[in-house]
Amino acid sequence: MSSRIHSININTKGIKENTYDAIVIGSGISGGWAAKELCEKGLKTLVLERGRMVEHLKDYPTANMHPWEFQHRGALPQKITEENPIINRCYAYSEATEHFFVKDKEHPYEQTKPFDWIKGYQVGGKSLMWARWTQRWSDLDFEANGKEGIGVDWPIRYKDIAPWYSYVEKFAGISGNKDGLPQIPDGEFLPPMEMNCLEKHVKQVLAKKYNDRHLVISRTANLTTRHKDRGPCQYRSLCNRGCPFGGYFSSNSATLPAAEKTGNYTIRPFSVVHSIIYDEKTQKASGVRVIDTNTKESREYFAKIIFVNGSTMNSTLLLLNSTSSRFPNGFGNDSGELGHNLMDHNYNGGVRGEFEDFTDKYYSGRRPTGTYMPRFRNFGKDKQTSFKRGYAYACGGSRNAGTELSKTVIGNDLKDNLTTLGPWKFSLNGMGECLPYHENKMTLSKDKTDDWGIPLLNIDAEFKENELNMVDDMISSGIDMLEQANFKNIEVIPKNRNFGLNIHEMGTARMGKDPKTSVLNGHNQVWGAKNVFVTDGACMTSSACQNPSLTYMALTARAADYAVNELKKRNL
Amino acid sequence: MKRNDFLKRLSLLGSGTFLIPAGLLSSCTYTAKIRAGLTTKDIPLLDAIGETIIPSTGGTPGAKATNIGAYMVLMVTDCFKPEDQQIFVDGLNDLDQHCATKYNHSFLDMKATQKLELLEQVQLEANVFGKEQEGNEKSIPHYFNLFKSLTISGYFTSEIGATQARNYLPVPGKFEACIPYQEGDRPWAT
Repeated sequence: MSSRIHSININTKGIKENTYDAIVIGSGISGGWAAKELCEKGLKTLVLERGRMVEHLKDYPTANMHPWEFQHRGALPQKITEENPIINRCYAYSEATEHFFVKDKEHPYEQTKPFDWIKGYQVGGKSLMWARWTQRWSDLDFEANGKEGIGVDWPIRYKDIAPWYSYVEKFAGISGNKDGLPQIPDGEFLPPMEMNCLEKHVKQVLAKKYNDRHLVISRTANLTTRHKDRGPCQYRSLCNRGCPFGGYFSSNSATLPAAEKTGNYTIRPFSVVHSIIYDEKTQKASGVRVIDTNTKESREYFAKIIFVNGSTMNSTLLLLNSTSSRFPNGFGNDSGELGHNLMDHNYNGGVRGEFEDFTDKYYSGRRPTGTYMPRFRNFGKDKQTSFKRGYAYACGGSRNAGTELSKTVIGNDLKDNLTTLGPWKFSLNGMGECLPYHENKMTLSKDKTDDWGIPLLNIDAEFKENELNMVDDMISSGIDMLEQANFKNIEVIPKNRNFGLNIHEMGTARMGKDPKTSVLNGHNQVWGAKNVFVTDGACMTSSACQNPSLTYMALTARAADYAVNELKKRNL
Repeated sequence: MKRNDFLKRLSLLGSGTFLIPAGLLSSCTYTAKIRAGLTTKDIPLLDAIGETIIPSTGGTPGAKATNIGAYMVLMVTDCFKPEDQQIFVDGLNDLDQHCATKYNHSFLDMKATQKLELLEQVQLEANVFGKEQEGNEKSIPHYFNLFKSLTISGYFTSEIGATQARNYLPVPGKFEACIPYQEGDRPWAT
C-alpha cells in the first residue's frame, strides 16, 4: 500500500493532479467497503484517513506475543490510565492494543452529559478492534419507527438491503448457523462455530420452558474455513491485536487489499478532512479541504462523488463544519436534524450464574465469539407495557480455573485450587435498543477547536425511561431463565456504562423519506447535494438491538452501486 | 525478645549450647525495617512471600522461580494507584514488624513452616477485614490481598505458570466444543 501514499510535504498542485473520480473519507469498516466497491467499479478513488498507516500483518506489533512478553502482562501503567479515563473504560483497551486507540488528550471533546467516545484513528479504523458480531436486521427493525410514529420511518425495508447483506457476507466471510429466526434473518454463512455443552444444555432447556427464547451461535466475522486467501481462524481469540492469519474481517485484511488490487486506489494517511466544498453552480460538492495532521498544511482534493465514512461522530462533525451560503447550518442540514437523534445501545443489564453439572466436560481452543439470544420482547405475541422495542442477549458458558476457596487460602491449597477447574458459569448480557431522541445530540463547540483548527464536538445525550425500563427487564428475565435452568449463585453483573461506551454510536445524519425531517435519502445521498453519500453509523434512522457494523457494510455496498449507476447515467 | 531471654531459653534446651557462633546470635535479635517506599531491595522478601503463597510443589516450580518479587515491585510502582501503593508498603512494614515481635527473625530467615503459619494468620485477618467491608460503597483492599493477587496474576501469566502449572496453547488451530475433563487435568492458561 505504501507505494501509493502521497508524500506529506508536497505543495499545492494543480486541480487536475488533485482530482479523482471518487473520494472516500475514512478507511474503517464502512470506508473500506466504499473504497473496494468504487475501485472495483473502475473509479479512481482517493481514500483519506486522518490516522497513520496500518498495514495488514506488518503493523500488528503485539499479535504474536505471549502473556509473559508484555512488560505489565497486559495491564496498563497508572500514568496511562490516569491520563486516559475515557478509553480506559473500554473493554478492549490494554497493553496489547493501546496503539490502536486514540488517547483522550489527542482529540478532546466536550460532554454536556457523560459520553465515552472511543476512537481509532488509523488505516482500518476500529475494524481492527471490533467485536465482529454480525446479525442481520429484519423488518421488525426497519418498520418500527413508522409503525410507532417514533423519529422518522426508514426509507428502506429488509427486501432493499437483503441482497446487499448477502453480497457483503459472501466477501467478508461470516460464520453462522441458519437458525430460521425471522428477527435475525439467515445469511450466507461459513460453517458455524460450535456451542459448548453448557450452552447446548441451556439452549435445550429454554426451548422447552419458553416458546420465544432461542439461543444461537452468534453470527461472527471470523473465518471457520479458508476464505479468499484469508484465514482460517486459529482460535487464539486475540483478534483485536490484528490477526497474523487474517482470521477475521477488517478493512486492513480484506477490503483495502481488494481495492488496491484494482490499480484504482490511492490512500493518503494523516489527512483529516476539514470540510466539504459546495459548488453553488452545480448544487453538488466539488471536493474536500484536507489538513495534513503532521504539517497542518491545507490542500484541496476534487471528485465527482464523495463517500463520508469517518465514523458516526466524525462524519457528522465534518458535515456540521461544512458551511456555505447554501448550507449555513451544516452540509445537507435543511431539516435541522443534522447532529440530532444520537443513539448507542444500552448494555447495562446482565446476569450470571453457576452450574453444578458437566464437571467432567471442558473445551479446547478459544472460540472468538459467544452465543446470542435474539430479541423476544414486543415481538410475536409478547407485549410490554413499560418499554417499546427490545433487546438481545450476548451469552456464554465458560469454565475457569479455581473456586471461591481460592480467596481465603494460600500455599498448596491455593495452588491446587487454581490449577484445577472450577464450576461452569453462564452469563447473559443485555444489548438494548435505544430510541432516536431529537434532544440527544452533538453540536460544534462554540469556542474550542482541535489541533487542526476544527471545532471540538459537544455531546449531549442520555438514556431515557424506555432504555432504563428495558434494563430492569434484561435483569429480571435473565434471572428467570437462569432459575428455570437450575443455575446456582445467580447474581446481577454490576454495570454502569456511559452513553457511547458500547461503541455503537449511530444516528445524527439519519436516512428518511422527506428532506424536511432527514439528512439522507434512501440511497444515503445527502438531500440537496446528491453526489455526497454518508454510509457509516451516522446514517442510521433507528438503532435496533443487533450489532450494527454488518448493516453499515451492506448500506455502503448498496450506495456505492447506486452511485456508480447514477454516475454512468450522468445523474451525478 | 531480649538477648538474655534468648540465651536463657537456649540453655533450657540443654547440652552444648554455647558453641553457637556470636554472629548468629546477634542476627536473632531482629528489628523490623521501616520503608518509605518500595525498592528493588525488597525483591528477596517479596520472592519469599510469593513463594509462600504459591509454593513449589512436586511437579511445578513456585512463584519465586517466576521472579515474582521483581514483578510485584514493577506492578506496584507502575500500575498501582498511590493509595494502594501506600497500603502495599505499609503492609510490608507491618508484616516485618509481625516477624520481629513474634519470631524475632526477618521473614526471609524464618522456616518455611513459620512463613506459612504467619501468612495463613494474615490471610485470616484479611478475610475478616474483607467481611467487615462488605456492602461498603468503596472498599479498601487488605494489604495481604494485594500481595496475593499480584502473586496469582504474576505466576499464572509467567511462562512457568502458564506452561507448567496450567496448559498454554498459543495457537490452538481448532475449537473443540466439548472434551472430557478428568480431575488432575490442567486448566487452560488463557
